Amino acid sequence: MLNQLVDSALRNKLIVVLLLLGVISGGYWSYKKLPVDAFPDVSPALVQVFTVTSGLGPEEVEKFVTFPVEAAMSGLPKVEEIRSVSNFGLSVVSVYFEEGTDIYFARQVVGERLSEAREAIPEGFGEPEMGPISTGQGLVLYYNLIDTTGEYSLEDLRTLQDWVVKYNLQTVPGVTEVLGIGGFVKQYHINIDPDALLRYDLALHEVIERIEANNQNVGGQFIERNGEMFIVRSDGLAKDIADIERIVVSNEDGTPVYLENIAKVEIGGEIRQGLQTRNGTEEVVSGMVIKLYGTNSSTVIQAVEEKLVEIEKALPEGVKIEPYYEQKTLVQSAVDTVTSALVQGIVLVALILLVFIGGFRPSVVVALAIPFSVLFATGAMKYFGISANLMSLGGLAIAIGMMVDGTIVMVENTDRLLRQAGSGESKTAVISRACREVVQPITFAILIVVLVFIPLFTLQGVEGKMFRPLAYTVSLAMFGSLLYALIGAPVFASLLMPRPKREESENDDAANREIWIVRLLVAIYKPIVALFVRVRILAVVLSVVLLALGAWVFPKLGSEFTPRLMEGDIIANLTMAPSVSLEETKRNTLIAEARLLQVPEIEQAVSRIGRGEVGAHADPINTVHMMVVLKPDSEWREGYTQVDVENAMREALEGMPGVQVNMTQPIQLSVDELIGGSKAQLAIKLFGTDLDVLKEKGEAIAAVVREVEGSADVQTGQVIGSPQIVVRPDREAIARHGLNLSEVQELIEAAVGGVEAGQIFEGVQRFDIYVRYQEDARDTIEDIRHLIVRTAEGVLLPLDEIAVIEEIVGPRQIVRENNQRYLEVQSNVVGRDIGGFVEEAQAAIDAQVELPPGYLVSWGGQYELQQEANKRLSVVVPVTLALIAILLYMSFGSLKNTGLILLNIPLALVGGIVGLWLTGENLSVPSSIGFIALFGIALGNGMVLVTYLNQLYREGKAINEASIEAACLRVRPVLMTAGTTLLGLLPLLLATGTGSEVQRPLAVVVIGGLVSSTILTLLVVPSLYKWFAINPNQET
Amino acid sequence: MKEIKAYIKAFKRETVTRALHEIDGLDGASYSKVLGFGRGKENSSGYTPNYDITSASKHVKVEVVCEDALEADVVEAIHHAAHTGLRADGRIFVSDVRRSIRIQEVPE
Repeated sequence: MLNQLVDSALRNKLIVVLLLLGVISGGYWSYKKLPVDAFPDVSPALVQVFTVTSGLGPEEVEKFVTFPVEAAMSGLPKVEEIRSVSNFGLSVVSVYFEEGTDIYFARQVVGERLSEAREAIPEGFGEPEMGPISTGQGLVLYYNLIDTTGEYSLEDLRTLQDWVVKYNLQTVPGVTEVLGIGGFVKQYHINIDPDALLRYDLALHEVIERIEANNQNVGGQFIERNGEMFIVRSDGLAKDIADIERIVVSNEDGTPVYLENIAKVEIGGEIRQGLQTRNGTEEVVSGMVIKLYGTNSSTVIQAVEEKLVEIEKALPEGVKIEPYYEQKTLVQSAVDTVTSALVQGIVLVALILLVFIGGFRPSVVVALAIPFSVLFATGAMKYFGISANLMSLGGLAIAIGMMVDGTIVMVENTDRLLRQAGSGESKTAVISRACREVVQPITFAILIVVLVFIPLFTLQGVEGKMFRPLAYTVSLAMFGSLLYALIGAPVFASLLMPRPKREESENDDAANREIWIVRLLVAIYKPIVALFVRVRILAVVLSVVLLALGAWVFPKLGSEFTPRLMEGDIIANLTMAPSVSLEETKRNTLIAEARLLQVPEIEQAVSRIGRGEVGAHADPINTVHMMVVLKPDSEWREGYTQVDVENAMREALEGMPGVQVNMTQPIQLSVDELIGGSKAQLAIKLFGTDLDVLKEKGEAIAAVVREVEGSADVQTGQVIGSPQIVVRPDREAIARHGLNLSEVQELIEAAVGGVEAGQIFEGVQRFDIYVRYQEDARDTIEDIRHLIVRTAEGVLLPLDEIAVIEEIVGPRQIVRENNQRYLEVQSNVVGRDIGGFVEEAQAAIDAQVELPPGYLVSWGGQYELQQEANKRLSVVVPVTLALIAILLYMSFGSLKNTGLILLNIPLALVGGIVGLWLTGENLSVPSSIGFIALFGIALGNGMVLVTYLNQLYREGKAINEASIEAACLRVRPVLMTAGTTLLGLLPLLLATGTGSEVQRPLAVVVIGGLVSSTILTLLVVPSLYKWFAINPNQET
Repeated sequence: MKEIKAYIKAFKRETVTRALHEIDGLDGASYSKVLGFGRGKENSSGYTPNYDITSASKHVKVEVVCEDALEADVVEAIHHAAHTGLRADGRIFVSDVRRSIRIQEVPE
């Protein structure tokens, strides 16, 4: 069948050329249209439910809001896990769905249950709402609103952000939400003087009712007059402060009491849970753009940027929008790293071809395989909806050297046979013969390379989403190269390759017609291989030595999930004491920013403290995410890497009292948050019910982990430590005075916390009217004790008469997983592998920390993912090897041959292992992929050689002679395929750009393994062939 | 005129073709895929070569008709090209041909 394919391609050259051109142009078109991302999106199918509950403490939020929401969400179809955070004033419930669940399906089922949850939440405790339709990589752009004139207050800027920038940006296709933070949200504050209330004998709730009643528009339907219809409406909305001030709240002996008599009306800022600072100098107003799920980052960012320019024109003179983080930069540099590796790879491969084939035209035939395969892959990527990103393009870069392998074998054989062919045979006949000789092993070899990538398709979860695109593109490119080798190579060979002209001379034997490099190679190689063939024990010794080397080195290797990808931006997470106030956090943050700017590599530091508009973050105000924008590499100190900069940052921040520092990166942060609910590489979760016990044991665990070598940034989740003032009403006393509990509590809510009483409209912009006691009447615990409660009989009571008011330390935030409270101890691991670290830490915790019954520890974070991946691979890899063995058996029809070729695998492994060890890389998912690719290549080389050995043996050559001759004939293609693959990967090995960290271990493994497996193929296989030979009398 | 009939291993067909091409004055040759069986090996070693399921082995039959003068060359060429020294290499038979007519020529 394969022979017929080759022959029919040779018969229909024009059709084949047209077909290939069609694929190439289709691929190029797709390439231009391909969506571009930085990485594959690894976010799980996740729906978050946010509930803002103004003023409630964490316990109340947990009890009244989080729990009903969690209860409503459990039992939904395809739900995997439910996690929640109950914070001061905010409940976030994250519902994780099974992988592959359609996000809109998930949102729909959550939405249906949301109404149930809404009913279960007590009135006035907030409305649960779903978060934006986005993913962990959704935060594509952050910007600051900068006022260069100094004329605009933070309040003005925030109003611009909320009503101009935000609304316009949200119209950009692909933007799902724009969230603002920083500055003050404008409100009309009515600060009531409690003494005035007493003076006019008013209760707070009466005032609130009055305000609400005097700020309304109503419709009066319509009347008919003279056949015309007149709509009747009453415009009673307050328009400005004066209107509010003139609201009559009471009547004293016929004289109206206006609101202005009892309160001060002014414009103020909403109570905030977060703010944003910049460069140690100022507070700023910022926004973040969240892209819609499933849209293309690069086009969305571009559209947003264009829109920003437009919006800037609409802003008042001197106000500028300054983006300080864009994923585009990362996307671009990740893609650049890979594409430059691609281009360099192509050049190096072409070089190899020129040297070994020694002719320009055959090299062209082979080199054409690269663009064809790459474009075939991009076309298919477009078809399957795979975006261009670090991983998928990385797959193409890896495959460069392998794409040419099939064609090399074909062209090399054609070249050789063309040189040897007598004049009697037509060129096409020679090419057909040459191609048919090798077509079968080539096809099987390429199929095996595709097959070895099967295990990657079975990876689940994050690692699956991360590495599957790579497996896809490698497989697609290899398919493309197979197609080219089968039909393209013969055709182009016959069109382009010349028949060497030569004089019929005396010593016209085959060997002399070869080019110099081949003669040189054979001259060196032949005696060596002859020695090995004669003294077979040498080959056995060599193999055993190599295997022993591998076995010796292997335990020395560390392991990790994936190497850390350097994004080029750093986020420093600062955590302050849980009791800290927003102002204090801001003060500390400004100091930290100023300190960081001392590090010369840092261009800007922008910090988000707490949270802004609800939807993306749920951090409490003692948390700071400091985005550190680095200068371009070229301005860095000599030899500095991102890790050095991070260390410099750690040093700069050292010694800040009460501040814990943890370094991460923007995308890493959101991905880590999504997968582990944790911001660190390793998350130790302690489950239990009592927050105090959790805290105590959690700290004990943290202390143990800190002692383990390699631990860094060890932190205990803050569950407790938030100071509270608790007002516990005395029921007896309240009953004595004929009061309702709610009257007392409403007073506390309105007087201390404040309540909303209608809105002021300015065009489409609307601002809340916020009523509360003036600051000096609610600011201290004494003031609260002296809040005046009015009974029905008009008796005035201070609050501490009817309630006990005390200060306690309460929980900071309550986190739950699957309806159980837990405390998280997190740690990063520096300078050693996570696997080993976990083992040691586990043993240490078991030995040193005693847990009460009902409390248990679980390990998560990156470590968890690594274990899952390993478990899966340990099943799938052997299955794949079995499949390969079957494929080999199908191709050779001989168990012995199959065995001989499979021998390649352990010996190729050795090279990979030694390679990792020499370069100091760890075992990780990328290096496993390297091993997988290595299997394919090593087997392919072995197959080509064994096929030829069989061929010669069948033709009646003695076994030793056949072995030596076949080896010498195949030394060129074997070295060429190994050489192209090796050089194709070299740029990935040496690259230093964004993303190179992830590709390097892979390149190391393949390069190392290729060295050892090439030695094996060239020396051990011919030597041991005798023991694995087929029966020559048997014909296939 | 002689007819040379050879039963050769299938993969030797191209080698034989090339060898026959080298002979000046040879008009042509034809091939057919054949199934058959041989007995010798069974008797000598009990080994059965590549029999298909109906226990027939696959070979290629080469038929060459040539002038008497070329007979030796053709036989030698085939013998050389198809020889591996292993079992089931095949046989060459030579027989006389009484008449040879080119169909292309106008019939009388």
